[in-house]
Amino acid sequence: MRRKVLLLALILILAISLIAGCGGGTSSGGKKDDGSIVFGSTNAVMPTLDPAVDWVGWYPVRYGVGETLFKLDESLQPAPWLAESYENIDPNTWKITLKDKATFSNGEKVTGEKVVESLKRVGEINSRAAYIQDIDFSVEGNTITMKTPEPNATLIYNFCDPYATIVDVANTEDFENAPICTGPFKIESFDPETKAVMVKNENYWDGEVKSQSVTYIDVSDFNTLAMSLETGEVDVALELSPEAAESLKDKEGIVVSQTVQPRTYQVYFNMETMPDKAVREAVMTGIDKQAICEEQLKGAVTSAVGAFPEFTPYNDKDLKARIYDIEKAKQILADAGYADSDGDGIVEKDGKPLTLQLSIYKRLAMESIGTEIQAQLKKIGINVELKVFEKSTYFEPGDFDIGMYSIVTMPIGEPSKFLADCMMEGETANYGHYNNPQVNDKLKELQQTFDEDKRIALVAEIQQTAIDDAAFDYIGFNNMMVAAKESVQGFTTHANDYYHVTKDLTK
Amino acid sequence: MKRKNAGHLPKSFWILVILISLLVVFSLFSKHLTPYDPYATEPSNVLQPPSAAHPFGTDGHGRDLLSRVIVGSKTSIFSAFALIAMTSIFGTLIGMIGGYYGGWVDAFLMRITDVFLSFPDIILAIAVAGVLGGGLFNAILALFLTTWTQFARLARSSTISVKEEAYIHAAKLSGCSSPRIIFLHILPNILGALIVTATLHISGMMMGIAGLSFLGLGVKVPQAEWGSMISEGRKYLQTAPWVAIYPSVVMVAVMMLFNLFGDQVRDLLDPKHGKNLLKRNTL
Amino acid sequence: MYKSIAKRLLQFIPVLLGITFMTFALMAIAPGDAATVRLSAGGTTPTPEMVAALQAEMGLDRPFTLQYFSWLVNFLSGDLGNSYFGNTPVMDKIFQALPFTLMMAALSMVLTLAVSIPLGIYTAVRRDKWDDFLIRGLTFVGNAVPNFTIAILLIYFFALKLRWFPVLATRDPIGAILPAVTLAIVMSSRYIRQVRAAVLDELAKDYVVGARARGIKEKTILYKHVLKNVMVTIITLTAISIGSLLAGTVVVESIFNWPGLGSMVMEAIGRRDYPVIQGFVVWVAIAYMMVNLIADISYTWFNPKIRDI
Repeated sequence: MRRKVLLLALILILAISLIAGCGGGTSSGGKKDDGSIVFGSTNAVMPTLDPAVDWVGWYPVRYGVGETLFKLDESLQPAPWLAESYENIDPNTWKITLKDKATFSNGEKVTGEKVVESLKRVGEINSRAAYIQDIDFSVEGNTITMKTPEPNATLIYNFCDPYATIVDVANTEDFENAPICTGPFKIESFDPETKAVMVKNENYWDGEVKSQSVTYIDVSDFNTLAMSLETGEVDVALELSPEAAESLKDKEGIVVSQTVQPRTYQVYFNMETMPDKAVREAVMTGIDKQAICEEQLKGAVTSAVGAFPEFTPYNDKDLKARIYDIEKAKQILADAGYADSDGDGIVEKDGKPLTLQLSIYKRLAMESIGTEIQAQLKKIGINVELKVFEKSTYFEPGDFDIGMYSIVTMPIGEPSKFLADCMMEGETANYGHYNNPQVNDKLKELQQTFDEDKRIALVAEIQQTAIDDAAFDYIGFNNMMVAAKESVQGFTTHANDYYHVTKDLTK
Repeated sequence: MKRKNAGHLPKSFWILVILISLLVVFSLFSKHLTPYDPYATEPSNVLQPPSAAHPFGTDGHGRDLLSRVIVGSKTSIFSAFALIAMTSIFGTLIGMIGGYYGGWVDAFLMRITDVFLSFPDIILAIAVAGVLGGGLFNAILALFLTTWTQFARLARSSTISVKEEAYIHAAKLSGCSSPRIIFLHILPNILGALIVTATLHISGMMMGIAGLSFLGLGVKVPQAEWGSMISEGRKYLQTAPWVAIYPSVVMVAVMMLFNLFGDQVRDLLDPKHGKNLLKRNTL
Repeated sequence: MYKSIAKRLLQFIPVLLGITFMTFALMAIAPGDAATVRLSAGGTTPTPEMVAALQAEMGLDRPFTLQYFSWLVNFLSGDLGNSYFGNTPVMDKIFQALPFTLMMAALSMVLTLAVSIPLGIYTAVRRDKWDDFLIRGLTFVGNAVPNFTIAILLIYFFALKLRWFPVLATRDPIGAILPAVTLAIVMSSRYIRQVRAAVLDELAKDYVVGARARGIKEKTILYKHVLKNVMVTIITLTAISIGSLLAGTVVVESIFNWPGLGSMVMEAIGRRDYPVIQGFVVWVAIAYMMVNLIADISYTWFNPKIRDI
């Protein structure tokens, strides 16, 4: 019997070492420095690389693989990229001229036919690009003429969206793993949700590419990401949390930069569950954005009054908003008949304590902001129940009195879609059931207005009305924190966070 | 080893009992014992190192860490006790019913128990809390689902061994109803083993709640709980280590106290303690 | 003996059904409609028409039991469905992650045994001496420290400060060391005490006393007799701790960025990728059952006196 015990023990140990051995054998690579420039992020690699799918397009564009016809410049205005120029012939007709020298990474020329083929594919696949299906394309050499059934003032902006990455549809065999595009780098290997390795595109149309290889790796959390930059395992740490960025600030050889993004923390008031405007105004007056953004978040969020950051033409300096004033907030509540009659610190009206449900989800600084708002509103006598969800899609739109969403207000450099989605009656992102006929009309007008100055004026009017109605508030804009080794040159941090890798990237 | 009378219990046991009772009472009234409001944020005072005003320092929201650790004791200790109470009562009931009636009732109940037992450790709890989306209530529910089986198994086997004894037969013959026999005659006889298991599981439950919270599947912001406070403190490990250190130290100390107590109770009540390999140390 | 094994195997069937049912029921208690969750996985809001179409396609309009049976049929043919996120078959994801978890679990097991068997014996022999107290004191502390705290400390000192190990050891075998050490510290704290208790038990037995009386060397007694008998305890321990080991991997894998099943399921939970969560739970449960079954059968094999397994 003892022999049997020994035998079994032996088999067990053997099996264990075998498994361990196998595991060791199959794992590939090491952390040898092969000269590749490594970008780490908690959100670096998607399950697929097909730019036409959902929001995946952001990734090949970040990697320096995908390029679009137009590119958003610093102030989020479209500038030519693969296209040479455009012309708006009449409200329904656009003419786009392509760059003559533009080629795909396989050496094929970027022709009008190929561009149309690529765009049409996006129209079929991506619900956000369904409008492309209705465009009437005609190609003449290097120029493409597009006729839209309705006037579309934002067509060129739309072609900046990474989903509109131009792909050589005819020659691509595997859209999911290796789409053939036009950027300075091309895909070498792709490991879904883990790692993407790119190599130099020898045929790059816009000059010599300086580095041989770029790698993007997915890192599970911000602390690990920050540490891996410190130990030199990654060269660039993207989209850091404020705390992680803080821990890297004084480290030698590391540069932390921050870029204001048009990503705001938008506060929705539920017009159905909070019909009393006084309460909404009290909340807006009772939130100290300055303390949240500058002190608690140490500048990771730039406090704001409107939805559009200063560097864009749509930022309105004359916007009149409520400013933090704790006494005034208390007064507004008192005037509306709310008083703390039982001395528990929470105000009541008709015997009912004023309790509001604040719904947030785990994104960036959302939990920190929610915690602060809860504590701040308690000071003016409002009891806030904080409900934290995993993601924004995990709660029914409108399952809140106050809802906070992290939203990019100008995803393609243009505000009309965002405003309409959030404010127009019955639209997809109008979670607060806001309905002001005046605003609805102006939003419709905006969609058909081509003149830049008129658009800016309309946007300002719409925002002012919504704020006067106490329907929306904006805590501030997210500052994207990126930390990199000092030696890394030639990568860009763009407000919309989809341009990273350039041909000039070196380390 | 024979079961000892209460009169002969060693002094160390009583010291532990007093300490633990104090801790439980303390955790129950922790809300009123904090130097500051544990939820009052103060953005101008974030990440202050330990000082006379804030012995444990302040966290990323400028909240007093000592107050949060104190309030967190309720979530951690009291929840663990509540959880153990619920699971032991439910599990014991199922086990005694199965053991007493035998036959298909037993077979049915034990197959259900087997199903729950086949999910190792807190894997099921992670999945359930994960799918339900976290929150203290969901975490407790998830841990409940994974722990009651221990008590059911134990209660069943103890009931089976007790039910053939002469006095049970006598009670049956004298016309006692089944519930009466189960609660008045069987339960007192198997209680010892159950108490041992329950005490040994308290620290495991605390560890379970803390573990789920650490993974983000337990309590949600801004609720104070040791596991989530440690997880929160990870962010400041380099810039403000005290945010993670103090809750960790307090938690380890309390865990040690409960482990010590569990060992003591086992030595006193369970004659075959050496064979008790099943002690779980979750997460 | 064979009869009892057969009986045990028969009992396996209803439990297996129960496991699959419970796993499937996870989906039912999940908040939100599966079709919406799947459609919004990519970050876009689906239209009601799209949701309705997918609900019909996924058969979500059918009665619950019917849905369960079709899921079960698929499961038995090895199909656990596809991930909502990226549409990869769940089985592929599991088989991709499994080797990493096995490797780390095996490594931590080997480390645990390598530490706790010698220390367990040593402390038993040195009973009540200062080093016995010291080691037992350490295991006592080790038993009270949560594994995530140990993990954080190890990363901080050995990866960040000393740089002996990479912080990001994704797929690199060296990256298995720190997570394995974390789990080994937790497990050894229990094992040392158990081995010590088992050795002490054994040393008190009649045959040891007899052997000593016959003048056999203490070392011979220890290595030739006691150790062999203690092996049974160790095998039992190993079998039992597979469960907590598996649970522990979930925590340490997600802390150490190790691409095993634990990271996979935590990621799936974060995204509400229900098929992946289901696949993980059902496979872990079945694997765990198998291990227990094998352990039980091997006891019968070793000790024919045990009939009731």
